[in-house]
Amino acid sequence: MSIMGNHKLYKGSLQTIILKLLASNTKMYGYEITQKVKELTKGELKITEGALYPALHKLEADGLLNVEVAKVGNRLRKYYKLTENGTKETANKLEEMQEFLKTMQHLVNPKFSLE
Amino acid sequence: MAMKLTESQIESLYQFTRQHYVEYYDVQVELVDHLANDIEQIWEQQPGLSFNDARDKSFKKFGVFGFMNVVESKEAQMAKKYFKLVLKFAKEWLSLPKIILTLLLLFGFYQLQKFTFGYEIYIGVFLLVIVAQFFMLFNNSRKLKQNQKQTQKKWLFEHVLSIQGYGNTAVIFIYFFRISNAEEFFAMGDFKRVYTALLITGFLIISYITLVVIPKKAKELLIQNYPEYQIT
Repeated sequence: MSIMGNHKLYKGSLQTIILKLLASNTKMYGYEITQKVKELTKGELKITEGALYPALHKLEADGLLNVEVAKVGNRLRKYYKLTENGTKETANKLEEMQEFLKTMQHLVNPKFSLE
Repeated sequence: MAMKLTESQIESLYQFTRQHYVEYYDVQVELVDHLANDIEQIWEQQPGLSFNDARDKSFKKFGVFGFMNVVESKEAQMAKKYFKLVLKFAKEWLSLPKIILTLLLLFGFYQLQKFTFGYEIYIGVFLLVIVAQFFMLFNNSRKLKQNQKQTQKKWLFEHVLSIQGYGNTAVIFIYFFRISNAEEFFAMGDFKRVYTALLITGFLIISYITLVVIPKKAKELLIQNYPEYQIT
């Protein structure tokens, strides 16, 4: 797996990013996800296509995402959306992420953690 | 106004994915839409670029392995789905009313071990199932090929359901069922006797699921998994 932009730090977060985006957009297709991430991070983070689809397929196999297909113009488009389980898992993952960020904050910036 | 891909350009993208070892239509659909979106985006910035150049530029973003990652992840996903499906049907055999049949089979096979021809019957049942698997395998792969010729489409899950799923169970059982001769068979201790009866019962049930139950529901399962199966 590889994400362009700021190196390996983002690597473990791809699934969380996808889940979070789907939580706030009901349904999205692959290309839309790459564009949305680019837009939200002002180009700082670019999800490569070689990483995005395997992640989507894995989330689908794990029962967190559902697929919908629609004909758009002259081609078929696959949309992903969260399942019920997916919604729960998104909350879990976001919580984990917050914990992680807090812990890193403590480690990197110890002076802010004197409580 | 933004440039859009024509019908024939979309068709050529399907061909392009096939040339890059994406055999299955369900995977192609997603990749073609991705490439098409990206090409249209590229044209917005470089309207003068030819279709082929824009396509190659987009393909490069997939990295040195091209579509391989995507195909592999999809295959793994389908294998997982299939495994879950088998498990779901297998669970039925552990609850009423089917559990009665399961227990009868188990008891029957356990008792068989005392008969003179017990060993031969065990081996016979095993071989019979293997033969049935091979028969279905050939039959199904012929049917699939015919189907593909007509529709020009290959579906990964259909392939898994009607071909790939079979052999795996047999291999697992060969691994566990390691009794080399009749002498060994009749000399088994209590624990091993129960274990052996459990194995052959499980083998029969799983084989029944993969050979009969799932193929019967194949169409329904395919539609569930592939919304596009109906559209196209």
